[in-house]
Amino acid sequence: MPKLMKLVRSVFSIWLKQPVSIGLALFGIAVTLSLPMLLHTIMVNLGDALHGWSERPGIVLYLETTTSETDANKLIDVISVNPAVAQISFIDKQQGLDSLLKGGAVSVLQENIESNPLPHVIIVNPVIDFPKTEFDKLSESLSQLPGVHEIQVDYEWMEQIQAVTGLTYRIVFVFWSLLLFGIAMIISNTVRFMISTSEDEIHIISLVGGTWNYIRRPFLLNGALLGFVGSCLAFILFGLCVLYLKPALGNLIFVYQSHFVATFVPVVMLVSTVILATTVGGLAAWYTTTRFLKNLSSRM
Amino acid sequence: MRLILAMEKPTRGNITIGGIQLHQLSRRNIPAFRRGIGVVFQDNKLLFDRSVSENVGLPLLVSGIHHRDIQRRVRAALDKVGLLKKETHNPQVLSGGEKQRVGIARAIINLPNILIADEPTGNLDDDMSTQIMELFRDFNQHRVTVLIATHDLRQLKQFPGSRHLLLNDGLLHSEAVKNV
Repeated sequence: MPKLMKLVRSVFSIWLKQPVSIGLALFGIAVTLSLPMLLHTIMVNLGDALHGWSERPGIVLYLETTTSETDANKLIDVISVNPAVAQISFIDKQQGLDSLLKGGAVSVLQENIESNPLPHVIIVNPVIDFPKTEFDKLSESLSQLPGVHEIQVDYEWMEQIQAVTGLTYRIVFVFWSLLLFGIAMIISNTVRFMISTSEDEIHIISLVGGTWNYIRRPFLLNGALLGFVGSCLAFILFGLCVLYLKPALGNLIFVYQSHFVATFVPVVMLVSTVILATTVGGLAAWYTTTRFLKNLSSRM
Repeated sequence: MRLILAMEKPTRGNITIGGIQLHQLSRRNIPAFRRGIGVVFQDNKLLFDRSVSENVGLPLLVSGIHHRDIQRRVRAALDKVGLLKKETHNPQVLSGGEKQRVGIARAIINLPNILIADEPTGNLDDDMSTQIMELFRDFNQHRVTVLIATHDLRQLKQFPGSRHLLLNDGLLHSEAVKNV
């Protein structure tokens, strides 16, 4: 461990000797990494808000008008055990009536009815990547439940969600892949520059019996640290961008009468970004150093 | 010398050093093999961003020797070449002869069985050359095989009884000659 710390310190002292080139490389990495994070945030927030995914029902169960609220809750308990069910909402008959009356057109009816004729409603949203056949099976099984009068299914909505979600993830994945490749290029180029300034040293170390692993070690650490520090800077850059975009996104979502869900980059994604950038940095440095050493052996 | 250091592979024939056949030596084993050979270069090949002691200790550092042992052995090697007082200096401030002696200290610090010197006195005046050659003779008397490549035949007089090979245009010009 002390050896590693000593090596880390020596890497930072090298960085301080080349502040401009290292600074530019770090900024390049930060910009590159913040782009997919921003894309992810914008797509998730916009998609979620504009389509109102969480509010649109997948399967609507209209219960018998005679079913009590207690029975409805028992039914919810039964349904919620099913692993295919992602979310269950319950709208009691009074809520349903209130919602209906908000429209105004039915207010005349209100005067002519003695009691609330609406049934309790249970809305079931299955997990997003749910295939059509399974969806049909689930609908069928739900319609068989005691107390269920009628069901209404909307698989088209599921397909829309699947299509949009699939596209979102694919776009983010493609962005990630391309930009990670870009980071590998930036780090590889920076390490190549470092190697070129230490060529004599590498040659001498090689002649006095230094192994390839020994020679590679500081460059590997350099690459990994470039990835690590670059990804940390990317978070700062990303945070600043989100602060700048948040009011505009909020306004847009307000116009569409949806409520803003602050779905920014999840912690898992932040952690995996750091790990990925550090690993890619180390791998890029390893590849560059190994190529140089092979070239050196053939030139010696 | 490049062949002996496994910097090149022979196009034909074999080279055997200390029982190791160099043409069979894998890339992975070359560093360990090189650690058994001390090399002195005509141009010193010192690192000017490190002190004299750091330059001398480099072969031990790459071998993973503990820092405290490195310090002790560096001081012993520098003492041997008469540069103990300059251990903290930067090699850039040393004279040509002193730089060469730093190179020699680095070459002997691993206690090699073989010491190779490529034109070690090429850039030095006669007095300094003689001093350097005396160092090599001293090592040789301590059972270290010393192989010196030089154009200065006068310096070889310091090695009576040793084996001298005369090369011309890359070919062995004369058989082993003694007492030049």
